[in-house]
Amino acid sequence: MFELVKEGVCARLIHLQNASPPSAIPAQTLQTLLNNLTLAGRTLAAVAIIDAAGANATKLARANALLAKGDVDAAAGKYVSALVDYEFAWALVQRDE
Amino acid sequence: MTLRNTIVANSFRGNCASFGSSLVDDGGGNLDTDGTCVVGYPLILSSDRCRIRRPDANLGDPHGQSGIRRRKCRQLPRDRPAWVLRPQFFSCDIGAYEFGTANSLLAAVRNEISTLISTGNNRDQRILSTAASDLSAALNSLNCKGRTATT
Repeated sequence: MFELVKEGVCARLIHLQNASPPSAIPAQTLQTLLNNLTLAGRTLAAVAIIDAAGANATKLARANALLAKGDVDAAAGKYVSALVDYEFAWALVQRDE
Repeated sequence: MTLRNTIVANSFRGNCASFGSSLVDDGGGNLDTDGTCVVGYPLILSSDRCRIRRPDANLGDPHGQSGIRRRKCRQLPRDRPAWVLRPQFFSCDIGAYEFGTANSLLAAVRNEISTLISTGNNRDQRILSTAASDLSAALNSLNCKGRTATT
């Protein structure tokens, strides 16, 4: 799922953002789509971490650190990197189920 | 009865389709779940089967808004939570609401991309069509896991 969102959608939207000649889609619209796409990935990771409450504390700490790193990446406009962070956080706690 | 700044959902005859009848009238600012409100925008509500984990996560304005109103972006409160998708999507709004699931977020993005396809040039249309298709596949993948991640 994350792979499709990262490569199939996020990367394509970024491509349109940087396209030459410019895309006919307003830059702010593309930006909003990227923000919301990243938010969806974050939501998946955050809920998976909440679901894994009581699991291995080290894994939970690492997952939370990845979530925080994703937030930093997203805030810096590194949307693909943020989604990778969220994916790793999500996958980390999935294994405990 | 006149409805203003109200969430109109799951009405039998269509949410705002009955506006102008003897039952209810549109006072403006209403949002709906089926796109029948002329002045509002389609609103995605969490369904009954969704688990509400953090009902306060999407509070845009915790100070007593009974509905959602469109609002100029420059008027947004400074403490508006970051990274929260609002129901007006590309516009700004205030008011408490629950968006629902990660699935809903992805579905909303896919729908917006699908809407945008016809507004782009040939290259845009090709890229957005592929992106919407991949997003549908991602949603199918997510749904196949039988999980809904709720904000």
